[in-house]
Amino acid sequence: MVTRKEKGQGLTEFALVVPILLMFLLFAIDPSFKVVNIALGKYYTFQAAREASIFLADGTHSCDSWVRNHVSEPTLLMGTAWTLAITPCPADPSWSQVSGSTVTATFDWTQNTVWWHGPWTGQMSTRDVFQ
Amino acid sequence: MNAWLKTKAFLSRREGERGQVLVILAFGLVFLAALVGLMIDAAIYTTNNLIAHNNASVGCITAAEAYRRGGNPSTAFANIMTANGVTASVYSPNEGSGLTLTRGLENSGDMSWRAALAWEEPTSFLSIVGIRTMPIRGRARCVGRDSGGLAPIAVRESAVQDSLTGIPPDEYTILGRDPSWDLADVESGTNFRGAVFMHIWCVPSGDPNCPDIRVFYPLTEDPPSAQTQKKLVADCFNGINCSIWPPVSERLPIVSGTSNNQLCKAFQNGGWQVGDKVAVIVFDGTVYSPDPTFGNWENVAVIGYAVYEIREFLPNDNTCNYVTAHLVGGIYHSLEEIPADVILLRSREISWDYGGSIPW
Repeated sequence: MVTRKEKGQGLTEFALVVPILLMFLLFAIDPSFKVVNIALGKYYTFQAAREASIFLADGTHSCDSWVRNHVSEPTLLMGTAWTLAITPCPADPSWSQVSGSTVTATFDWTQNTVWWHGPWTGQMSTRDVFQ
Repeated sequence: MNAWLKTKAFLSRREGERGQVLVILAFGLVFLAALVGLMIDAAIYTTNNLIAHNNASVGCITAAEAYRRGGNPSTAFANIMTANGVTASVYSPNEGSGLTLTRGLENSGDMSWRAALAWEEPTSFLSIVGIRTMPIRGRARCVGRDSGGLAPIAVRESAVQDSLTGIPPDEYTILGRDPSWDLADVESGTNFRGAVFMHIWCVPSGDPNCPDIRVFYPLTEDPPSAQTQKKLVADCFNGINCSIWPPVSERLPIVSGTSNNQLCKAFQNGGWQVGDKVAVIVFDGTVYSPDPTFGNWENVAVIGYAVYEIREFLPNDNTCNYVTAHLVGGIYHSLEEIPADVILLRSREISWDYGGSIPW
């Protein structure tokens, strides 16, 4: 038998507990986004380095433009800005690679945060070998 | 009853009911911690598996490429792993083999390689509920390019056109001067042995003296010495330092001063075999006169590309002087038109579980 005093007790306790639990959950959003962006960044650099490694100099397209035309840009979560640097892979159409040497693709990004102090930045890179 | 009295009444409940909210909170927090931990750690697990696969793929192809060039695949594999921040314990010693390789590098013997990475990644939030590590696995299978790309060989257009319309011969020499077969249409082509030099272009212009010369790595000499020239052609046959695709209308120097046997041997040493398909340059049949500003070389103009299938090394494999081939397709006018099974013969990743022969 529920007494009058006990009426609403569950609701009150729920109201006290929920904000704490919700806050706990919400604070996990930004780290999750960061982890997803790390995965996207890694895959992007992997693709970019691989495309650079098989670049064919045709006198018209540069290595840099070849790579950027052949990889799909990542859609970052809460991302505000990013850059991709590939070295050596210049924007010079007369450049061709040294077989067996290393190419490095580096991806830097900035992401906004929802609950944590931000913005956050990240960097991923992949090294491959020119064919 | 005002709000204060209500709160006072709530706080002065029966003794047995006090602390319920704390119990709920405690259970809720543990439950939610596990839930959030699962979410974060699942993301970390997925990300690390992706990183592991990407690094395994890079390592696999690096090893296959090193092996193809006569280098040490294990050293190349270790070097690129280090460059990508992968520690040695992640890829060595080998564990398992074939389809069950879980760590290390393995030569499958059919020009394909397997690479696998494995490590235990510490968990973050999941450690709250007692799960302290999670297994990360990355694996890749790849094939080393045996030969491929555009070969530094030029075939005259009339020969290609005759083949397209079924005019015999069905197969003819494309490399190495064959007295019974003209590699070029005109008398000026007597020095022409079918090979061209891809690293130096005479960019088309109104001036026939080739004022605009474009050179590609590793060329640093202008004009290059005969020795450099021979080495680069041999490298090109081998698919090394020759990721160059001269477009239509460029003019390329012909390779002269090199014997039929040297060219044919270089071609064989590049891994080319009877039955292989080779992409070659098509020129109009004219070998242009030496141009003082263009390395003083005779040269040919690119008008397209064709694909040939190698038929024979003549007079035999050991004393090769000529390479005969049969036209498969052409005339193509850009890289995009070349069939993928011909031009994409590059070291590349293939399916881990692929059975049977390698899908060229």
